[in-house]
Amino acid sequence: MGNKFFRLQRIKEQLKRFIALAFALFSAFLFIVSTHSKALIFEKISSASREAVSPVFDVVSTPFEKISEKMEAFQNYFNVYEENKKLRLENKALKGWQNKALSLMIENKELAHVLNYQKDLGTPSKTLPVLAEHHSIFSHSLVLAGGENKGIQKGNILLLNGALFGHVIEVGKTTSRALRLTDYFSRLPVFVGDMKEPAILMGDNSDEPDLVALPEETSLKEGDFVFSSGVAGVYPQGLAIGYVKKTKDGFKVRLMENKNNIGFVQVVDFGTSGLIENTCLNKEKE
Amino acid sequence: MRFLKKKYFSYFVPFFVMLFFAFFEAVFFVQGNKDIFLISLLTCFTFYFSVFNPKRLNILFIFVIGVFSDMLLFFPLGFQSCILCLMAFFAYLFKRSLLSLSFKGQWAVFCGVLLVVSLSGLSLLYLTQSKSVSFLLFFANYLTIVLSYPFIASFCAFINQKTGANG
Repeated sequence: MGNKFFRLQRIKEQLKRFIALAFALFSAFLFIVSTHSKALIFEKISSASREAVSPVFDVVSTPFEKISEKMEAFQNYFNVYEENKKLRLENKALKGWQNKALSLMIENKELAHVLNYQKDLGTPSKTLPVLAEHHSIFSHSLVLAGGENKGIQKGNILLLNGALFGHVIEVGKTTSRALRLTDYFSRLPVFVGDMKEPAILMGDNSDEPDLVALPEETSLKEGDFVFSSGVAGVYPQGLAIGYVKKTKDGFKVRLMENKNNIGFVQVVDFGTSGLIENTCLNKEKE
Repeated sequence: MRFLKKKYFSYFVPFFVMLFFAFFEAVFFVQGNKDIFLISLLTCFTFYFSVFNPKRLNILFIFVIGVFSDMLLFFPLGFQSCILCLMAFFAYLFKRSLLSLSFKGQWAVFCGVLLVVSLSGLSLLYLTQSKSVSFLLFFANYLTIVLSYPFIASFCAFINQKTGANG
């Protein structure tokens, strides 16, 4: 009798545990689906958790950065010969570009004089340190040490050495989160080559994003220059992005700036923030 | 170490250990600029504690740790929770047979369960996000967790011993 009672108790306990597990699994699945819909509440949770953790990340990052630097220096030691050979070739090519740039500079000056061209008065920009970098199957993003306190707005554009690098997607009080061009959710209208062929630069969480939505009879070739087209008005026109790379499956883009371990980025406000904010608000209302 | 045996404190030890490890893992991957693994090393902790110390790692704790890890790694909220809950489910399912096995046997079962959970994670990823992972990264992820299990299990056994857990 007693044995039967204990057996029943155990079965009851196991049943309880499995029901709790099934409930937890269902809740987790609901969470995933809700996060995918990009609800405002999840953005707020994510932003708040990032704000809370970022100071600790900042402190802990120092030894990791040091180790990373040492390892890189150690690896470089073995690659000196190859690196030197590569640099010689690059130097040769750069000398050619230097001559070309000088003649273009003179030509540009003359044309500007003829057309009475007024130079751009400049756009407000800030240089912010990068707190953390994320490289995962889910995101290629950065956490920046500056948010509302530094006047950062959703939609501000990230430049690295003059090349387009990404844009700000979440802004907290003291930190903000930016999406890199390589991120899965990054879509950017671009022009390719001298013919200005329109295309969409689509991130796929790899180092080289895809070029899609090209015209049917395209004349793209390896090495063609890719720059922002300004279509849709989110990114301004003419920002350098990278060069075309031909693959078996189509075209990819070798980005001009795609390094990791970034110390600082330039955040520029081209006045497109309002546009993105409005789009998000409309989505929420729907 | 006497304070570890205090009833209320020892109840939360596995939870806090896993929470700390989730943070440590995030710092290692994020600050080390490594490609973040899809399946976390927390699966080892979940499996071990679910078999040998289930009373001190209940489902709510597993769920919260998963969400915390997702927040730190910028994964979709709930992904790690799903993986960890699945791991706990299999651990509960095989608990009785696992307790009678040697460590090598337990490790072999863990390898099998991890493979099933990892493949479920991949399917979930594909179903909800339409994304796939390269085979190499998946294999590296799997191998790392499998090889880490003995170390993590020894560490968990040490915690169980110090906190006087009876399984």
